[in-house]
Amino acid sequence: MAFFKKIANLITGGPAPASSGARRSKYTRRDLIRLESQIGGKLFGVIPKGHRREFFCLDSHTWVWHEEWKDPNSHKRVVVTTRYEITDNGVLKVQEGQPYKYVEGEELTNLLWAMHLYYEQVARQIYGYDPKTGKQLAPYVV
Amino acid sequence: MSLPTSEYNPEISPGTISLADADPRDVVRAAEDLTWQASPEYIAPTANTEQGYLPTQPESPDDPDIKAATYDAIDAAKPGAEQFEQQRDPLAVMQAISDNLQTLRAGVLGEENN
Repeated sequence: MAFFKKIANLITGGPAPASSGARRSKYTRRDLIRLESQIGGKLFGVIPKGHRREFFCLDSHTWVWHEEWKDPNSHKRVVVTTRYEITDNGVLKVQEGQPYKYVEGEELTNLLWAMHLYYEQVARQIYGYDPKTGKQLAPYVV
Repeated sequence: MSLPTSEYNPEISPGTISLADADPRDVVRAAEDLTWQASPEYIAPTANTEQGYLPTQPESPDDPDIKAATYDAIDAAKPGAEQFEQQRDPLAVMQAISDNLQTLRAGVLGEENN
């Protein structure tokens, strides 16, 4: 177990957080994801006017990019949801109406950066956790 | 949630992610992470680390005994080195980040995260 903690430390550049098992918040999992997605949606720059963007980690294998906007010509609501699934063979990109494909090249690099930024900001701003030192920061949101 | 293929807009895909408007301090921190992970010390751990090491060449290639011993050492170190290489893989990084997030959530929800 210590070995895996050490590996996680090497990979993420900081200690892996530990769960105490004691509930300390009234928030539900859905609430937490909603809070995280507010940060995640801002990682990629300015959100165009009229767009709603969310980017969040759904579970230990799935990340979601969700964007909605109204098409200026047709005035129809456009919704694009992209699911990134971490598998043993790569990151599978799943979009409705599109063929499944593995993410590679620049897109994979960008996704990795986005996850890094997401973790850095979510850990500090929502959970009050310093990913570098593993220390609890105060005050925290949840 | 239904989206006709013709309305797919690749411009918003993370394939065109712009970090221009991200908090510069976080960008720097992320860059430091990546730089640190790519540092020679990280890539090539010394012989006394538990990951083992993979010599790039025999110390004295002309000496058959040394060469054989070195190749034996390489063979012995391979499993550890390969495992170590896998840990540097982007997939492993993504998985570790995802797992850490689940642990943070579990800490708030009072769940055990396995």
